[in-house]
Amino acid sequence: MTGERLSRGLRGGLRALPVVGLGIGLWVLLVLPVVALALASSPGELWDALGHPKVLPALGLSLQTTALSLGVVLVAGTPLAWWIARSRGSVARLVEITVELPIVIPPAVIGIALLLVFGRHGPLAPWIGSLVFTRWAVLIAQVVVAAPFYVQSAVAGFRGVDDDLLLVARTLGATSRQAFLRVAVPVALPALLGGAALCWARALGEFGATLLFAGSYEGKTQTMPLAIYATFEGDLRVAIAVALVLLLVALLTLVMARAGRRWLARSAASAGGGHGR
Amino acid sequence: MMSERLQRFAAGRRLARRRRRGGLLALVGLLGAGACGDRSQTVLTVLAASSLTDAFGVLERRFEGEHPGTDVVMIHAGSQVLRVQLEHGAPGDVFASANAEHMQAVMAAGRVAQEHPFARGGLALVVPPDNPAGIESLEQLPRASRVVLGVPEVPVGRYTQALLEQADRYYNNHSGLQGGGLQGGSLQGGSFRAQVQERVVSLEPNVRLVLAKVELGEADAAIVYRSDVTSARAVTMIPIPASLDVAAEYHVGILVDSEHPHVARQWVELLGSSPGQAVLQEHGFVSLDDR
Repeated sequence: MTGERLSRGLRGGLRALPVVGLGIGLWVLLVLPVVALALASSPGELWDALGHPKVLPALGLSLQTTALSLGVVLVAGTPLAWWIARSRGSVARLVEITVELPIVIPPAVIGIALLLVFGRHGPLAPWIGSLVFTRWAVLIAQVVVAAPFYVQSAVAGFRGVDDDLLLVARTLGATSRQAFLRVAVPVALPALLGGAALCWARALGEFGATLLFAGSYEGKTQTMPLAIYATFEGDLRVAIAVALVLLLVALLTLVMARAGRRWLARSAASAGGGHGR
Repeated sequence: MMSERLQRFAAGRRLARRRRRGGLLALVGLLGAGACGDRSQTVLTVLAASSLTDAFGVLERRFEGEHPGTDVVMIHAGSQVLRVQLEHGAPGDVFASANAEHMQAVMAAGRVAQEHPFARGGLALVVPPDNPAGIESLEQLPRASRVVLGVPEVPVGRYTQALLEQADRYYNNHSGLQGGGLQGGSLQGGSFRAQVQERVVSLEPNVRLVLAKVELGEADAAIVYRSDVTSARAVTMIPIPASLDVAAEYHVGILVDSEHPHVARQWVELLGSSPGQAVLQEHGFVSLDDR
């Protein structure tokens, strides 16, 4: 009897094998290029890459602009996501769909579209002039391509907030703002932080829209991805080492964001326990 | 005016996209052909510098007309991109590079055994049709408030730097002799080259991107290959004095592992033939014997 069960288990395991294999295959496909990148550069080359004249200005610019664009997205995207999550009308559905548009549009097309809107001959030119080739352009490109990732995640997070919870908060005398900040945001926090990390990562890697809309000028509009491309035109080895620098920075930040998320979740849980008692 | 500019720009984009899509389809076709074994059509894959896009497009139609059953597939990218791809084993039959250096690298990697130059390309100054900075000669380039050039790591950027250096030497010695530009105290801000550098707002990785910035009116002036300024482009070309122009030498070679070396040789022969050279000249290239 046990033998039969065992063989059935074994058969089940064998049947699952192809599926598991597919999963592992995908994982390998995702990780292998990164490993190849890491193996292609010696630590010495990596160190030299850090000293490459293009790297520090580009890294500084990337960190500065992505921090700003993330800030813009958080401040403007959170209320937008809240409204989308809480509204039932068809207008809200339309907004929800259009917010996600930049995810499916190729970044280069977004770059051209931004050129047409914010360029010298764009509809806004009489008031703001041309933003092309400026740091504003870098920022706008990052916000447009990255914001959907945050808003999408935040909407999902806010949808998971129990209506009753908010209702209870309101009956206990909380204003709607208090209910949002002290009930909805903490409940949706993992989704908000996850979305923010993804949004930041997308902004950091942004290339196509920036290249077309902001151009590429060292210290002004040349972010890390553009610097990598520019060095690739000259020397592949330098480009790989520079890419590795970006990879390390991104990895470090994502790990930190994850740790922060866990810490927040834990402290929220313990705070919730305190209230319960 | 904007809508017209937009339309022309969009038309150019569409064309490029169609070409690219064609390339992709052909690539898929290639994969399919590889998987199914034999296929009646011979596919000749030509990897060519992006500045050759328009001229090779015309030659492709001609070649396919003369060789029924042959499908020429163009893969266009910056020469340095193609070079890296070839060094890493990209398949193909013919490689056409915008300079000798990248061809040498591909030969060093053992992918090409023999090569030769087949054309030269000069540089051109381009401005938007409304020419907001009122530039009429290279010497007046410092009048532009926004100049866009190729990044020095790509051939066009390197040639541009060489051109600016030559022009710098020439104009600083002859200022005043050339009516216009540097007269009226415009040399105050330093040498010709320094003034131009000051006005550079972007160094782009390829000529098409540089041109797009001028077409959209975002740059007042740019320096590109003459061969890129076709009639479809919404820009005005201003000739560069022949004495200052630096020419890019285009090289072609057959890949050693080409599956159709015979057809590949016919393509290379077409480039050197007088009809081939005529097409190249129509697209702003200079025939080798003209110099």
